[in-house]
Amino acid sequence: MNGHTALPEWDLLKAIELGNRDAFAVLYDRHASLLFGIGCTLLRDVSDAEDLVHDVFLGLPRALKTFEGRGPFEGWLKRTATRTALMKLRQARTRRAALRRLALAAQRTVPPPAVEDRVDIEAALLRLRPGQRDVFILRIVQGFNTRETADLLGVRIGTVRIRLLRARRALRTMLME
Amino acid sequence: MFFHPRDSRLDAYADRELSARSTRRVARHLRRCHRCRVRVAGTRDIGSQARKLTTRPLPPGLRARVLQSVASGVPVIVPVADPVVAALPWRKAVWVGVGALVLVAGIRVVGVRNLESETSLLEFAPAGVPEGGTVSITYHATARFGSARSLKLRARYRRAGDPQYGYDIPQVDAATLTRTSGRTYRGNVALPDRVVYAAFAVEDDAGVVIDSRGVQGWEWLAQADGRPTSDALLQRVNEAFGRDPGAALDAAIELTGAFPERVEGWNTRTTLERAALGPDVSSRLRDGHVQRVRAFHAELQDSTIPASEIGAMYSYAKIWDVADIAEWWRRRVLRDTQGSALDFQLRLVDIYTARRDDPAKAAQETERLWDDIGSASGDALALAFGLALQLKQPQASLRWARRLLAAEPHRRLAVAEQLGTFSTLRDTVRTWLDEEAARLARPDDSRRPLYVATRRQDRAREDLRSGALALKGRLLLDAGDTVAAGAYLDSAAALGWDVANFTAAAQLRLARGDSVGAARLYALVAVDPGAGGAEIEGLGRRLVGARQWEAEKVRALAQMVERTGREAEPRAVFDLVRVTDRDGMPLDLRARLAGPVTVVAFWVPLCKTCLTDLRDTYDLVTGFGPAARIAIVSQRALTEEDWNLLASDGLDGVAVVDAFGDATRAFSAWGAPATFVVDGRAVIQYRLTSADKLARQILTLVDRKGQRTPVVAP
Repeated sequence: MNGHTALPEWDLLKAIELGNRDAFAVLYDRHASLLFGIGCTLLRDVSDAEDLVHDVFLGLPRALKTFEGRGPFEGWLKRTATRTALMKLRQARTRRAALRRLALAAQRTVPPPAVEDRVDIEAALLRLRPGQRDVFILRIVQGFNTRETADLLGVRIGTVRIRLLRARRALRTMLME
Repeated sequence: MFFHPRDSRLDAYADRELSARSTRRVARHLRRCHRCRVRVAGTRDIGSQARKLTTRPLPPGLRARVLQSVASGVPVIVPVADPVVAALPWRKAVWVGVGALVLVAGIRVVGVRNLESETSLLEFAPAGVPEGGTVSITYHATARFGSARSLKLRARYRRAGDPQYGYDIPQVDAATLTRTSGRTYRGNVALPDRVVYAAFAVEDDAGVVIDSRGVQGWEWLAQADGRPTSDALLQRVNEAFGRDPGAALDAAIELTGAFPERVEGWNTRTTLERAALGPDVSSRLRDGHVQRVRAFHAELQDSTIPASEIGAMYSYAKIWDVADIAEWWRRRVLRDTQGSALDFQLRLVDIYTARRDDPAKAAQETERLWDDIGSASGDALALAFGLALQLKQPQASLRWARRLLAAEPHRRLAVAEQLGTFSTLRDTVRTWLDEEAARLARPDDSRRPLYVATRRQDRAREDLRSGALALKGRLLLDAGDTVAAGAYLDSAAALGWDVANFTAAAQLRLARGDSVGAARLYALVAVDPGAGGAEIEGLGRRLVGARQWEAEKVRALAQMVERTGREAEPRAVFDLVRVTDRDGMPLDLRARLAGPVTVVAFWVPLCKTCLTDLRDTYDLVTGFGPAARIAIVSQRALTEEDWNLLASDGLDGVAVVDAFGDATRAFSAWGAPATFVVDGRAVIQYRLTSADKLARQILTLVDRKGQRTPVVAP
């Protein structure tokens, strides 16, 4: 506990811009789970998800210069973390490491699922085409709307709709038929 | 509904994305259709299953790791802008802009070893000094200054209202720093009145060794209430404007963050966003800016605000095409800021538009405008001068030229060249050129940038002086005074290496019947690998015979190597310079610099016309065969369209992206894209100032390495 625990978000962010470490700790406690969840679903690797949380928090003082406070901070943070995760994904794909990652995914140390059906959905998601998987995760799992998803991925709205439709068809085939 | 809704419609229903009317229609169908109800339930079930994946326990130890990194100050950049959709639907979506720059780059920015400021530090005390105060300086030097007992602190001071770029803002000796212990030096600086921003650099007495904090300078900003003033922050933006758009944008973002109520800050930021982020990204910011323009308008239209803010409101609205508000503020500029630079410019354009068909009348009216105003910024005066030239009014052009040069003397040569087109003004211009050549014969430290050593400045001064003498020679030639013209052109030819001067001087000698003198000058042209050719060869042989011609060329080659060698400014590239390839994969540019001479050409993708120059450079460099090669470094992320553009000129294979900013830092590209010639040991030898120097600079480096002199096709 420290003096910043009860601070409103805006004051907390100002403290972070000024480099206050206690403020970082409070912000971590508030939002780290959200970021880690984004990392696990998009990157599918605990180490990568940890790196995502780490990098987003460390990049905050600089990135906050662009946060104008027009919407909730959590939404902005979620978008920033998602962009960062997508960047990591893109780099991995560029290196043609994605396939290797898929093969290794089962052996990595993602915490065991609490519900039996999680294995199914997780395995099914891994078998989706990357573009479809990204859209499904952003749109359905992370809850971004179609426009936001298109913006984050740098694709058109129509592309998002088509990829989502195809992703759902594929998942339905894998999970229910 | 007789038919089942399409899958996409059922999905949209499941996602609650349909309009109220469509929702009712699908719901009606679902009440009757078991198959579609199962379908929608399945869709929602898949979603809810997938959402459970986001609830993971945080790994133990992550919190400590993050906080430890925060404490150690590990710098990380995360993307803050979305990628942009490609312009053409069949193209893959591409990443552009600042966000994309970082995306392509990767997130972690490793501190780059900086040759100039590896561990040096300059501290101000007290930190928060108001305008006009005295500051104590403590400088912790690196080994570069040896055991010097004192060092010189140079400064560039800016006051509120000083312009972007500011070529005519002088550099001054601010203080002498005296060694107090080890490598620590101290001194005091009395800041001149009204200074709000200062950049400092430290150098030895001779101005040979300079520590300029990697060409950024150590910055001092006037403070009030414990933070930099808005004027100080604005001047920081203006100082960075011409040399580093990225740094200027960072400073503008800081300014608007600290003083969101200052329109001038937003107006400047907009300009930089357009320059630094490119039109695609900046257009995505349009809505926010337009909203702000309207909010400012509502708030400020009935307020008394400074002239600079009135002008900024007009520019800000104009740049985002908010026509009604721009027109409102235009009228206010004309009404409330009479005599301001912007008022002057607007009135000038009005006169020009209305009197285009009556140049004499237009000239009279602009003169009356000057009587009313009496002073204006350099930009406004340059506009008036340009309009007078277009109206072909010699006397008006001369008057505006004098006013312009009083405000911005650095434009002397360019203005003289333009005025020289009026035959009636040639005497005046010739006198100016004599004065300019005399002025340039003497060192003027106030015009030496903080980051430039005396030797380099001397060469720049010689180049300018050679230009002044050559221009006067050409004007004398036009006037028919061939003897005097020959003397001036000879002087110009002796100062620098300018093929145009050699040729003009040779022609004059030829006209006087001096074949040997002409051949000697033509030999200088012949050995220049960018200029020689069969025609010159034939001419030289006819003038003095084949044997003497070959002897003249040997002598000329030695001169070329000697003069080109004097132009070199050797500086090692950093140990690691990370760039990325087309796929975003990091590469070490430095590793690629080993071996042949490499021309490193920085390119901003916005500059499509620069591609022609790049292609010419590419052709020239490849003419050297394996002895030289070219690397094109893009200063920002490249879109698919950019790559295609490069590919259409066959340049995509040699292009890389400076996604980490390492290359820009390593080469210290001061200002807009620059080209550097690097020898095979990764030592930067030349920063190219003129394309026609490139071939001989490469040739000189190839020669130095003892390789065979390459034959370059004319």
